Amino acid sequence: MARSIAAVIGLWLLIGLSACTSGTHLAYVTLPGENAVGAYRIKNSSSAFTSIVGSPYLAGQSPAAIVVHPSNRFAYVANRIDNTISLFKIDQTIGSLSEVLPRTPTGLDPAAMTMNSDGTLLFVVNEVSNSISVYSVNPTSGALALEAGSPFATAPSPIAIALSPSAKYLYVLNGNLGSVFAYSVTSSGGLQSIAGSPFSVGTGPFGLTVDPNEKFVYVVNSSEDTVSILAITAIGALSQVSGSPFPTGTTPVSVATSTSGQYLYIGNEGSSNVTAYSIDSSTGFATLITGSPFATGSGPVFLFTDPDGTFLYLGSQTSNNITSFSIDPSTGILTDTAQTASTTGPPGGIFVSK
Amino acid sequence: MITQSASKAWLAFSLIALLILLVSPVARAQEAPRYDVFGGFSYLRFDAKTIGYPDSTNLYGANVGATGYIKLNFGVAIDLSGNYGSEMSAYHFMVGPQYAFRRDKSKFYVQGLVGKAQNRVSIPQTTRSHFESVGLSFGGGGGFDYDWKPNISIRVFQADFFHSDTFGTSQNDVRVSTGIVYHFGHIGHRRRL
Repeated sequence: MARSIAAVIGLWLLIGLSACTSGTHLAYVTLPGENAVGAYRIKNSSSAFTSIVGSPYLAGQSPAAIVVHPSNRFAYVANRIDNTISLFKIDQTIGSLSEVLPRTPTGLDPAAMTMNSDGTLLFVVNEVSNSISVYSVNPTSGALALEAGSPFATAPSPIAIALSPSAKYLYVLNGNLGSVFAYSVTSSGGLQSIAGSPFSVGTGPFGLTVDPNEKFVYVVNSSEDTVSILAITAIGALSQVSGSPFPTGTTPVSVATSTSGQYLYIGNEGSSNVTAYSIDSSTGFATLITGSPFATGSGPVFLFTDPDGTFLYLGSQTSNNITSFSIDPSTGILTDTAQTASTTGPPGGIFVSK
Repeated sequence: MITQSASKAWLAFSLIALLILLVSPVARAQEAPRYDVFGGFSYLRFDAKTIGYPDSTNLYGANVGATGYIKLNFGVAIDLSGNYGSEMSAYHFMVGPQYAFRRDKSKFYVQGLVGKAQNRVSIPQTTRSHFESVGLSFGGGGGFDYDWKPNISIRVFQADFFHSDTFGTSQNDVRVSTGIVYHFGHIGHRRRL
């Protein structure tokens, strides 16, 4: 009897010990056609996707841009037809989303968003009302409050937005004018135009991002198949680096850097591939990485580098899925992981949380 | 695909079962109760990774069951369990054949089970309080009972593996139970070797 009881205790201990925690990230994908947000858990080692129970979660109409608060407790989704922002609470165990109503009003057609690294300010560009809305974030509830002076006027058709890592400079991409509007950000979230702004880029600019080392701004020019690389000056102004613009594949629409800032990746919707460049950290000169361009599924429309810098995620609106490539940290070469998350409709944006 | 933790538990279970058989007394029972009714505590290692959790989840609850023996060593078991955690609950409604090995006061048994699993996850939304899914479940396991009184045994352990299809995916769960068994009726006759 005693031996049997001991054996049972051993079995229970074995079951308990076999429970090992493996590292994961959470990814949230907006689905504009479904008015919803898909949620996935991604395995750090392989980038394998697991859909979270209950996903996709309902949002407003035509959700596109999505930002996760640095605390990983809140997610913000811009609803382009509603002209609102949905605040979601993130379940801290499973990562599911629960919307907190009512939604926060924005300007007309909130097309893009970004948040500072402290999670205190949220910036939204409104493509139709030609403005930038700035919100302060309540750290406890996640609630948004419009900052004094907001919304700030900008030129017609702002389509993308990026904040420098220090949150000192805000860059707004204007598709019609082919230029980047640069603003300095005050401590209270106010915006002041930087001398010399706007700064010209190529034709049909579609996406932009800021180097994590705050040295360069990258803009993809979808109508001329190039990427403009602009150096950031001490006051946040921009100037084209030598050799810019650099060639890309056909119809580049998205751009992302590696977490080190050493590599630049450009999603080419027309040629269904990713152009990869190695960036000289001093000059900004771009050198093609061996093997570039890397073939992808059809029509990649957005890119996102995971917080560990291990994987690059691509969204396709023709295949309705998210795929991933591993990033070689020493060369920047991409390798298809063959991991895919099918979405219930064309994905509009992605955010992979820390 | 069976998870690594489930495989380890299953290996441990098999080794323990073998050990029990080897150390059991040599007397062979030729008479046995016709019916066993069981109730007790239950632990379920729920394969929550398949529905988005970062790891498998420990759920605790109750397990009840009954076995009716058609022959001395062969019967049909009904097995019901409910296990609960902070956000989740899992129910199994199972039935299947059971084969018992009896030696003096000991009974070791193995069983195959098939039925339904009903899993619920409570993550409140604006329009609903939880997500629930019911699906096919099958699996099996076994256990060890030790006679305490003429009509009562201690179920030292029962360990089962379940493969369930819920939430559009599959879970491989391991359940371990312990409790009291009440016997009544009889089948066969007793003979000492």
